Amino acid sequence: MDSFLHSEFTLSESGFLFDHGTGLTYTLNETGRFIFQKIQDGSHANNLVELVTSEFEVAEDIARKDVDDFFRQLKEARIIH
Amino acid sequence: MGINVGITGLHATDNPAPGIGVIRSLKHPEGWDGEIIGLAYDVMDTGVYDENLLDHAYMIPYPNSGTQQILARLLYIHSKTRLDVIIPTLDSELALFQHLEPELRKHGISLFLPDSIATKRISKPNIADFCKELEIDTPKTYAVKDSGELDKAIKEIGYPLMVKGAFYEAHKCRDDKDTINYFNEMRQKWGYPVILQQMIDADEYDVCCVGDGKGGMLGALPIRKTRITDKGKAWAAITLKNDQLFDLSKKIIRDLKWAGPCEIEILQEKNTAKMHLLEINPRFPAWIFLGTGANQNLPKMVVDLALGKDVQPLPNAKSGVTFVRHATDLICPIEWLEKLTTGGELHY
Amino acid sequence: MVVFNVLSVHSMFSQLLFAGSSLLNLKIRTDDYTMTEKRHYSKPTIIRHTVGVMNKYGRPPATVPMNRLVGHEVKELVENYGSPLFVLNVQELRDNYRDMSRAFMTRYPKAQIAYSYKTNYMKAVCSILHQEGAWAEVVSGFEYDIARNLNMAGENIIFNGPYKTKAELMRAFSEKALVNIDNYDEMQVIEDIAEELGTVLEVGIRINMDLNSPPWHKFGFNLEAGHAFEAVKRALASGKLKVVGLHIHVGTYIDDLTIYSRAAQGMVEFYRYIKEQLGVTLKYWDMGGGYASHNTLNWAWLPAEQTCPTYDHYAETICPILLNGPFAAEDAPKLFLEPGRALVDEPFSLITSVAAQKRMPNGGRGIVLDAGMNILSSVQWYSYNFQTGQDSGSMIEDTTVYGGLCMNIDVLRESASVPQVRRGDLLVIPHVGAYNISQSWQFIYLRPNVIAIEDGEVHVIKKAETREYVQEFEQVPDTFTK
Repeated sequence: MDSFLHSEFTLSESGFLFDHGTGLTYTLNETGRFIFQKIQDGSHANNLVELVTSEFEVAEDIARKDVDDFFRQLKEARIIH
Repeated sequence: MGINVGITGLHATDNPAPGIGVIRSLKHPEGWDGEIIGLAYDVMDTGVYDENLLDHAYMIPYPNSGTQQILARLLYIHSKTRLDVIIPTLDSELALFQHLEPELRKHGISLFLPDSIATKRISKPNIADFCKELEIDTPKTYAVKDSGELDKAIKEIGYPLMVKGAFYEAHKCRDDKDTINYFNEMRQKWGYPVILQQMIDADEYDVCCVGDGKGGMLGALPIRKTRITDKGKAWAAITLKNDQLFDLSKKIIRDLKWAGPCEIEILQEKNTAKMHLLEINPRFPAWIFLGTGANQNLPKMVVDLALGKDVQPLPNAKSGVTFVRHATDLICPIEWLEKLTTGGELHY
Repeated sequence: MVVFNVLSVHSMFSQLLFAGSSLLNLKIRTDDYTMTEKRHYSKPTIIRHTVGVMNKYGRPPATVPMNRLVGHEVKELVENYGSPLFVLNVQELRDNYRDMSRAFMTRYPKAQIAYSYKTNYMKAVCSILHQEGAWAEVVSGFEYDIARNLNMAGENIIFNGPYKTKAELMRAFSEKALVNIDNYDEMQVIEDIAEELGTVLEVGIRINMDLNSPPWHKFGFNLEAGHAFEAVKRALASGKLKVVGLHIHVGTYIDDLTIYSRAAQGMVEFYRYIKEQLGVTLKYWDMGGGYASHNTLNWAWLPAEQTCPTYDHYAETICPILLNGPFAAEDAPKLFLEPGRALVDEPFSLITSVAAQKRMPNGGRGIVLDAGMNILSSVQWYSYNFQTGQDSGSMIEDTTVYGGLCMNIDVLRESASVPQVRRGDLLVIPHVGAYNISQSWQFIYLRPNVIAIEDGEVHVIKKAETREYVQEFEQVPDTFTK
């Protein structure tokens, strides 16, 4: 398992996320779901921007800012360490 | 082919919305062959998880979102699960459905609603003027639209008084501190005006009526609440036979040419036995299922009226029928929550 | 790119439907070398479910991009005319006038609209409405001068307001404008003018009634207290004035029709009374303005589109009551209406750019725009909607929208539903035509361009300010710089 996540999560195809530890639920958009899945699969934070740019039509500088912002949101929500 | 009915107001908490009572009335007695489509504003609207009551549940936009967006959503639902009739059950959505009615009717969705002028006349800020016109007594009422008027209103009414939100909620206040607190709370929650109303020592009665839109009253269910919650909601009640209540209701319905359901709240002053009109809610009350036990299945009547059927007035309600509400828990798999959250619909 | 377009309309709940679409793409594109075409990107987002925000159908259609205005690309308009930018849809303004005029004239043939200048007295706006047939309703000598400068004849101007100077009144009466008297001091000045001109002057009397709370007692003479009757009596007593008009203005943004019906009823009863008691025959009565627009007030819960009456509602409320007045149908007084907001609010939009976005300490989101209260003062009253000027995805979030002024009070909306936007993205604020431009202040920033679009053609109707323009009348004495 990865070291990022606070607890066990179930992420559905539709972007519905259930936190088994807290009982909270979330919705992720398509890009968010992609990144979250990569985190669950154990991808390293440093590789995520590259994974995003190779999967989606987006420039690297924008992806970098957005992934950064996304991580901040996950941290603020206490989903990742 | 059965009639499909869409119903709003499914959140049945300790301050229950009327939707569940309306659905149970429609499905009573056996023989209902249509489908019930629950129209929910929040995925936690409790009623959507009752698979025994609903056939389908759909999320719809709040009445204060854009009208076109709501219309589009209703027409989408109609295209997937035919909607023959919609019964809105919340005060705050009436203006919306009045506005949408012609368009919905064009698509074959029927409603039976009062007109907007009648609704305006009985709105909380205008009810005092309405009573004056009809020469009906009413507790002293002040619609406050500016915090600067609060002092004046308190002075005119005196304590104890009720502070009411423009759409919902009422709080008993015994001093300035209470009044100011609840005034601010109601203003933030429901906007202006905030209603201040005199409290009188009285017995409280409710009458649920259905008007035919031409001045006639087709059904009436007078009750006395025998157990209320701390929010003043009926937890038990008994049906009555009371000519005074019946006649007053009839007079109101006639003057308004009221179409569809309403709940008339009446106070009878203890000292003088004088009847006061407290307020009129332009919808079914949450306890409407009680009517099925008293020969007044009013939701069924409203479906018939919406469909343009010839509806005859019902004989008087049977008195002495009681209901007691009791809370129950539903078990639901998380997939239901997921489906409603991400897909906006759930089919049982 | 075809595949892209399909993917870009993905909403969250159609993802399942499209789950197999990458396979499909490959099939379609086997003859194409760009087999590695990437998926449509939107900013990664996670939103926690809390009570009340779990209904994505419960949101304003903020996610539907408003990337075109009056047939033009919003982005292109900003490239050519800058941001922020006011945009007037001329046809919509014309349609509003025609629709309102029709609503009243079909119910009261002698109805005439006089446009309330103060809501937006830009020359282009007034000109369009005059072209459509509107008279001018002005409340100061300055506004009166604007109307005359646009070649409005004095006899097509209604002069209202609590403060009119003697010189302004003299000009108005000399040019046969209609003047509604607000107070006794003004009445005395007008009597002096009558004497100087050596003629009996025809005047209107502004009255007020206890219609709303708080009541509008600032203007005119109160009916219930008997002041209105006294005023008419007093005007006639001098022998210098002839009362030929009655004016009332019930308030501002009045969506409660019962207020208009009570006002109309009051006018009819008052006319009947002064006719019997004082022999007054009216040439006109003026129901004023106050008609609402499709903007939602900050303290209202329901959106204006559900509560705002139509022109027909207003006309149906007012006209049949007035027609019961003490006169034969052919002798009906002329009826004036003085709408401003109801005509001019909706045809204007404001395009603005996102300057920054920030996360607030409470976890909420804030965005800063390049437009502030200085050009959008109506945020004090209205909860404006913010629509994206481009496709910003379907994930919306409650957002505090800040104006660009370096002032803590410059908040355009405490909580609005806004999709994920970045610096430079455009937002469109609809229905901003009333009061914002006429009440705008030059403060910290220069005021932007105002353009009007009709038949595809873009006209600049007010140029953006320059430093030179703002400082034109300033002077620095030499002694300050030596």
